[in-house]
Amino acid sequence: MLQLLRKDFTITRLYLLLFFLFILVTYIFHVNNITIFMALMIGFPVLLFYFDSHNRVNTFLVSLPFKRGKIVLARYLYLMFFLIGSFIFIGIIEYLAFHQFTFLGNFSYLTFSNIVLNFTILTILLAISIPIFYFFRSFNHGISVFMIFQVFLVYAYTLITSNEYIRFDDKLFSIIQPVINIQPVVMQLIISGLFLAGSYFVSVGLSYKKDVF
Amino acid sequence: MNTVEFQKVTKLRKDFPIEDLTFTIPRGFITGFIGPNGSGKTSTIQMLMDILQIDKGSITVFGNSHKDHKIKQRIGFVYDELFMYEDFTIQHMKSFIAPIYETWNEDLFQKYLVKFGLPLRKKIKKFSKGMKMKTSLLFALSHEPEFIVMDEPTSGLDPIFRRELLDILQELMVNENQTIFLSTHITNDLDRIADYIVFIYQGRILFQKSMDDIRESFHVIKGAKSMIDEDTKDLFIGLQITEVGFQGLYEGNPTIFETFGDEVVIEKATLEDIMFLMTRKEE
Repeated sequence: MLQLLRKDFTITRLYLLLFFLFILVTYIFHVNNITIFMALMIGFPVLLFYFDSHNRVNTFLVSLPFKRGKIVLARYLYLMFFLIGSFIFIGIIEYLAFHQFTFLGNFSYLTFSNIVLNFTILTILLAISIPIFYFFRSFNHGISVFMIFQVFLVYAYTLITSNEYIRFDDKLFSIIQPVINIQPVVMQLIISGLFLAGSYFVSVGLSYKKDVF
Repeated sequence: MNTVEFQKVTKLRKDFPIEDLTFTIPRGFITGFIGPNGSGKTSTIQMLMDILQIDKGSITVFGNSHKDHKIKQRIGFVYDELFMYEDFTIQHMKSFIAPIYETWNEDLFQKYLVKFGLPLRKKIKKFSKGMKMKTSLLFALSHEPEFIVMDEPTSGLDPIFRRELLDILQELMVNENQTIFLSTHITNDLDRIADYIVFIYQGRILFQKSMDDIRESFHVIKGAKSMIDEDTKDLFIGLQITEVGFQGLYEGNPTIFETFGDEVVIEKATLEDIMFLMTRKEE
């Protein structure tokens, strides 16, 4: 397992460095925006699947003495480490910018609950997106469907939030809100965990069922 | 005792089905897997390695299902390409691969690294085809596998390294008594080293025989075109007729052709002759 995580780190370390530098730079130039960070974060798994596909590494991986489930689990864990690491980094920078280095800020300060909410949204999006790449073993097909999904999501979100005649969001929130209110942070993390677990089992099932290309 | 057993394995595909593959890979021998390009060699190896799913039948490796990931501890593989991240170096690959294998032999790795003259810290994308093949072989051999699977390892290699590779395989057989399954369409490679041959054509196994049987029983008969009629045609399992004459592949005792005297030439068939003539469709 550790080997698979290290492998993913080795192939993405340059991108990680650039991503964290980018976050810092946005604070220095007062253009920090959590939505941009999140958009970059959701592109990260695409990068990993692209590297796998471009080099046809899965053929090599399944020939090694790994269970396919372990290969998929390592991918999920690595992405989770990346998300958690990124949010911790953003949280620290936010804290420092707000309390220590005030010249960095343009501030709407991100609270802990903001970070948890963003983390939850992102894990749900990833949980839905990742199985796409296991379903379509061709990266080109996978990325096409992934992009359509993203466009649909942005369009649906814009439509729902800016059209006063669509009240679907209120109905949805009236179901979700009381559940989250039991213990906001814990409940959001549980929801994230459930989505990820479901997504993981779907991906493992697909990885056993599908041919590797 | 067999290392691998294919039992009626079928892979249904729209463009190219592989049907009812039944053959074995005997333990302690080199088995050559021959067939023209596109006959199903790579797909068969990919099914063996659980890269492609099978639709029917069963594959056992060391007596276990081929889907059991633990058997891969005992398998070394060399594919026709090195499927690894192009920004990786051999050092990166080693850090990733060595801890996975319980039988990793660092001394052996160092020995082959020097023998193959491979750079430890150069990116794979800068490697030549030969260097990539050597890298595959380096990792396939360094964990001392009992069974080595090779898919077209010699294609695209220069003759010098091809010969070196075959020498290494022969050394392994002498020193380690390993089982090797080697697919190739360059049959000259196998004439030298193979003990058994499995011949696949259009997704079906045409035969599995020992090299001794092949040398003993397959002959190429050459003669004038006029000698071929409906009766004589049926004697051959493969036949090529040209303006100059004919050459036919005969399986069995060739003494029946001795009655033709100097009108025919009888030669032992090479694997290339067998592959060429058995896939030849003459009207």
